[in-house]
Amino acid sequence: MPPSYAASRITLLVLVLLTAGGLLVAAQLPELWAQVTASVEQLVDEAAGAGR
Amino acid sequence: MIMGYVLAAIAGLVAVGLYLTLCFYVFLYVALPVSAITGVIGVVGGVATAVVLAGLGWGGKSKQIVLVGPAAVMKGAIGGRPVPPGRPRRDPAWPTYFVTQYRRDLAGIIAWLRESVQDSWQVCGRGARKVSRTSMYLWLLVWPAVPVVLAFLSMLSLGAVLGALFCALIVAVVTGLAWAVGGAVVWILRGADHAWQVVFRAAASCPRCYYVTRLPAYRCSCDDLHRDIRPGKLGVLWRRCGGRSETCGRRLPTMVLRAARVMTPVCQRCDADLHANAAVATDIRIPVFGATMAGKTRLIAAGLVLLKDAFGGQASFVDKESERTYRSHKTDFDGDRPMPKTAKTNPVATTIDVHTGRRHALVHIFDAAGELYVERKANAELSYLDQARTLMFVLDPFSVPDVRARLTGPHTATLAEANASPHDTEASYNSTVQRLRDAGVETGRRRLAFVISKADLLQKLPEDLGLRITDPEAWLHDRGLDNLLLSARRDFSDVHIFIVSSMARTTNGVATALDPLRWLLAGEGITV
Repeated sequence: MPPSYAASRITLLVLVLLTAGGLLVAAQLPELWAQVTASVEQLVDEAAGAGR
Repeated sequence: MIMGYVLAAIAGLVAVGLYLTLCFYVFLYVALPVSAITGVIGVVGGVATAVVLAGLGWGGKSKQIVLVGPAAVMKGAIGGRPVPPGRPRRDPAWPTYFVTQYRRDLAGIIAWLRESVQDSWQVCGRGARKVSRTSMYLWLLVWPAVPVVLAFLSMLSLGAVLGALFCALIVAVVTGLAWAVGGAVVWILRGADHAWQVVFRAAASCPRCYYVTRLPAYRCSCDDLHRDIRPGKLGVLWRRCGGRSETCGRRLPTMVLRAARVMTPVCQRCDADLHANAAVATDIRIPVFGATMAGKTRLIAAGLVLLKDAFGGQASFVDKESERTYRSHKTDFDGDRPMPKTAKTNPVATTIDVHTGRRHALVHIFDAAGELYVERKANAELSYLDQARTLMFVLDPFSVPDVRARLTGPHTATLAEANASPHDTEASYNSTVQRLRDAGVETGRRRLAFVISKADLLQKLPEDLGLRITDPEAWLHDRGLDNLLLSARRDFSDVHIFIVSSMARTTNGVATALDPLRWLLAGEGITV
């Protein structure tokens, strides 16, 4: 089997894994974003409370 | 007694009712939620199975994947047309992955995935049959497992289908990109090859069978031939040789321009080795024709020696036969020896590689016996005439009847020294031109060097004989050869008359044998 076959197959596998991983992360993004914004709001509130 | 039956019936009904109630709650609070969970697990498992099997398949672990190797390629696995019929459909090389192997891989992975999912269904089916065989009443206990397992298997199948579609989508996108980019590069590289060959008038001509092509075959070091080295399905920039029963594995450059640097070019028709730089260097074929003993060989000998001298180290003979011919000609020319009669066989070209600056040119000079040009049947085999852009016609002035008639008395010695051609000059010209026309050659697009040979002897004759040449056209007219000149001017796009002494090294009143060659080569962009 020529090396180009192996290289092409590895490329396909890496792309499949990367895309699958990317899709999973993308599916979680809204939830992650909500958590991040909530954390930031909490921090801001706490900071504001400490300021007062 | 009756009361007993009634009580038993009531107890039975109560038991059935309790059982059904229990089943309802088990279905609602156990089987249904667990089915939902196993369904999700099934979908994820199906997708994961597809990805894992794809990885294993691409890693070469699947027995269902069949490799498309050089043997399959030669039999037509990726198409191709055998030229001529009987030859393999394509060269012995591995095709690029995205031509066909990607499909085989995908098909193999999907088959493996289908097999795995079918195995899961069969395992559960066997479990169900085992329960049935043990006791049908056992189903009253284990039935809640049925929706759970069915949900899992259904979702597993769905996940496998989704996973397979996902992998197929990735493969399709990557394959499409590979074809778009690869296809563009292929056409650019082919265009570069073609443009170079058109601009520099490059071609490969076989010195033996006279076949001319812009695409010679190339011999790998494993000895297998690659007949179409152009970029394509067997490789864009490189190809992997699959010669010697797929064991060679050498990486070969595609494109004629690149292959010519590292591989031996071979004639597509007769499989003879061609010269280095064939199809890359400017290819100039110069057939020298004329009647027997008109002085063709002497002219060629002198021309080759003077051409080599003119270029010095920038000219070399490209094969042993040409080198040997040159040495023989040089010995004869330097020693003023008479030339031997040319054999009445189809000539092998004498080829000299000249280079000016970065430009290389392969100059092939064909010297055939005069008889071959006169005999229609014989000159039909001289196909190199058809491929020549420039031709050289040699006229022996001593074969002209008017000249012979005037050389009487003390001048018969000159006639004997001239070893005059006994054949009709016009016949050799006409039969050669007719042969070109018969082969469909547009002579009107070709150039002709019209050489009057043996001028050194002619110019030695007393002036009062009126045979010395001062104005070639008037001389030909006075000798009754105006029709021949008229025909030549009508037949060819450009005709230049040379009065040549093949014995001369320098131009001294008459031209040397180098002058017609210089004129012909100048027309090809080669300055001597």
